[in-house]
Amino acid sequence: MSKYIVKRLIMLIPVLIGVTFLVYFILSMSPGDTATMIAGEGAEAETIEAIRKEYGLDQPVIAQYGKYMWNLLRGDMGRSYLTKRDVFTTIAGAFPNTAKLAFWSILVAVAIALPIGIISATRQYSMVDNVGMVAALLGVATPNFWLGLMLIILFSLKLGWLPSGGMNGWQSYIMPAITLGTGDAALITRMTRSSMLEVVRQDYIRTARAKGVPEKAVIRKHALKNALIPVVTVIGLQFGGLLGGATLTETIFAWPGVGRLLVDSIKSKDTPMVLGGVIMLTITFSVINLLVDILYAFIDPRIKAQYR
Amino acid sequence: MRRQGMKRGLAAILAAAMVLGGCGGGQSAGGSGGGQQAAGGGSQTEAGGTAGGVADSVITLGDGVDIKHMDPQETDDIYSMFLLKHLYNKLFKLGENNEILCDLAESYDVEDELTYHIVLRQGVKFHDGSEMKASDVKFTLERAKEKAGTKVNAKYIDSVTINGDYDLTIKTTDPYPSLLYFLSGESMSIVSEAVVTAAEANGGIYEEQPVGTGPFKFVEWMPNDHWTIERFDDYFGDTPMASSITCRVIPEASARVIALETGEIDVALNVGAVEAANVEANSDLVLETGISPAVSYLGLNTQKGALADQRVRQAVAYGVNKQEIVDTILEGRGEVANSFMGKTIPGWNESLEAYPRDVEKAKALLAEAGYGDGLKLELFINGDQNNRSAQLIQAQLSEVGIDVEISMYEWGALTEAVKAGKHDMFIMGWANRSGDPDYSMSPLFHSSSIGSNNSSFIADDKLDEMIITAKTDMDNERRMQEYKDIQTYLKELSPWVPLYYSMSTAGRRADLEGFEFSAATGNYAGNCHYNK
Repeated sequence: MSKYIVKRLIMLIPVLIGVTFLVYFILSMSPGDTATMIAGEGAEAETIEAIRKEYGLDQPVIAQYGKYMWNLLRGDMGRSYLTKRDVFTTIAGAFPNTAKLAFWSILVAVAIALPIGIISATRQYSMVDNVGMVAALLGVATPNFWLGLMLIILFSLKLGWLPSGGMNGWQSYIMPAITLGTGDAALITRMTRSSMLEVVRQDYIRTARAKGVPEKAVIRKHALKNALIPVVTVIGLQFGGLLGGATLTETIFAWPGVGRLLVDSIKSKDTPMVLGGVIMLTITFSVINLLVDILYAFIDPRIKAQYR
Repeated sequence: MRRQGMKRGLAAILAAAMVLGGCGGGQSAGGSGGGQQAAGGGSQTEAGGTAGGVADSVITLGDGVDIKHMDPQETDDIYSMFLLKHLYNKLFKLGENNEILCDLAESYDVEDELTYHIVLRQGVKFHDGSEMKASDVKFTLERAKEKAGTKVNAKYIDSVTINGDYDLTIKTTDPYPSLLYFLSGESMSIVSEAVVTAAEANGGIYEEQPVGTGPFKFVEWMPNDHWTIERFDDYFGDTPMASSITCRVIPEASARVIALETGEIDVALNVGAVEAANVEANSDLVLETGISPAVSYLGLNTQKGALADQRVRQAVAYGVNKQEIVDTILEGRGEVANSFMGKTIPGWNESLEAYPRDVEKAKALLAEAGYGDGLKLELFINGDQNNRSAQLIQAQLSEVGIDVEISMYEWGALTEAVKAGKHDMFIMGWANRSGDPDYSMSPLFHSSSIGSNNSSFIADDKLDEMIITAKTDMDNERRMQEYKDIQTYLKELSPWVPLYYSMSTAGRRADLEGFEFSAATGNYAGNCHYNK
């Protein structure tokens, strides 16, 4: 098992090189001159040339990339073109904010999705199933920015119960976590339902029932455990996505996370900041995927046997 | 003050200096909002800052965009400049009507057209407790010559000579009447030589712990979340009313106004047109508005195709209905631009009249130029608001017989395309925050600026000469008239169709006092407070 984990972590290195290379070249090819962007609106030609020299943007792209990677190897992610702040410090400052929000959001999502998904599957075409599935459909279809604004108008403006934005105390987590969580909940609900439906039709479930195992135990011990693999995969993917930052939700709730940071950086062609963000995203996603794979082993002993 | 004798032959220049100068009088006037408390001035000094029953006020503001820098010589965006205004001082500052007022300078005189003698205020303390001296000023000015954002103007500074701890002489390379305006900009805020040198040793960055002489000292900056400053007790000027100011970044405009409505913030800066109506409708809130120093314009490529013909450019100017753009796109929150520079800038030509909407005249001009059968032009734009303006212009010009094709770009791509001259027409804005008219002329209309900001590619010998004459004229009154003449000539050349002057807006709680709103020179929140 530990050998497997090490192997997976080593695989991360070529992935990182590939991703940074791609992003670097896409950024350099995208329209807009980086030096002009740094200089800002209304800058004079002289200023722009000075900046181009200062940041080494007059060098060929491959040389710039090489220099970046060399510095990266020595643990230096560079400084933002825009704010001159250290990239690592900036991302390390924003990431915990995103991670905390992602954690509560996925918790909201799972807390809603698992019970509804299971009940929907065990009582297919019942009232609960129908209402649950319509709600899930609505949840998927509702845009985050709309839901977020509606929550703000209701709970901050009309009722005055919650702060309208910012990251200040536990109250400020409630609305963003609900906004993000409900969207994800919808997807997880549907996945749980269909996976459960497949499992409850299996022979071993019939056998369990025939043996006289109580229905609750059939669902919890025999059906759910077997149905969880695709559900865990989806939860992992959703969680990874949340850790990459939710730009719209962060914008509405003035949340100082990585999503806004990344989008702003891309817009202003702040290459070191974008690359720093991409590296963080790559590592996060790979680690989450690895964790999900490890989780499989605990859910299904057959998979554990394959990890070598 | 050390007085230099008046040199013969320089009487006119000194007379101009008297007009320019006049450090006396009060400090800057209060905001333009009406009914507001004036900053500085005698009465408030006597009230003694926080004394007299005003409780310590912790003020929270909300703005849409985060700051980028706290190092003045690196700063070029209005959000950072707003913070700098609270942290630092400059040698000079601009009054509400763009007059030069003394800040860290106590007095100055212009000895000849290249020499400025400046006497500094004594007893000014930096936030670290050290005293501000002439060496710090010299250090700042020389630093500005090295930094990308400031060197364009700072290159006119030839030398800075220290005559004593509070006395220095600045020599310029050429006659440079903009100097005092340049020195009034936030990017010329005076930094501490000792602090900057220590921070920048070993390749470090100064701005993470900024130290100024301003009424507030830096506490913290959490990027994309907030910055906080607190009152500096040793400030040389009037003690600010607010004890602490936090500015939160709330990017979504409607969320920003909701935060204002719930009272989470005391002031919402940069309120959009739709939200402005919400603020006005709420009796707990007050909307502050003022014409910003920016002009939005339709730029015409004077070296490409049909637009190379002046008559075609004038036809476009006659074809565009600017009032309709103000009424619909700005929802009435702005004014039709009559000229090529912001109306708050000195030298703005108030008597110039924008081309009126005249379809017949436009058609006649087009026919005269040989385009009676119609004409096709490409319009390059960026952003939602300009997109809507572009669609309106498209409809308006179609009535004249000009078929407009709109191309939407990312900001970076737009500037690149426009600098390369790929466009027929483009929409952009120009904000002159220097307060000096040259910044609205040289970068935009002088032929040497082609390839940078002269994106209408106008190259006219007479125009070039007029711009240079005005730029270097030390007689202020004559200089202002020269700028007015340039604008009249520009109207004839029509490298642009000036579209509108937009409003700067801010919303505040109705019972909040002391917020100094100024669209022209930037807001100041230092005296914000609530009366119990």
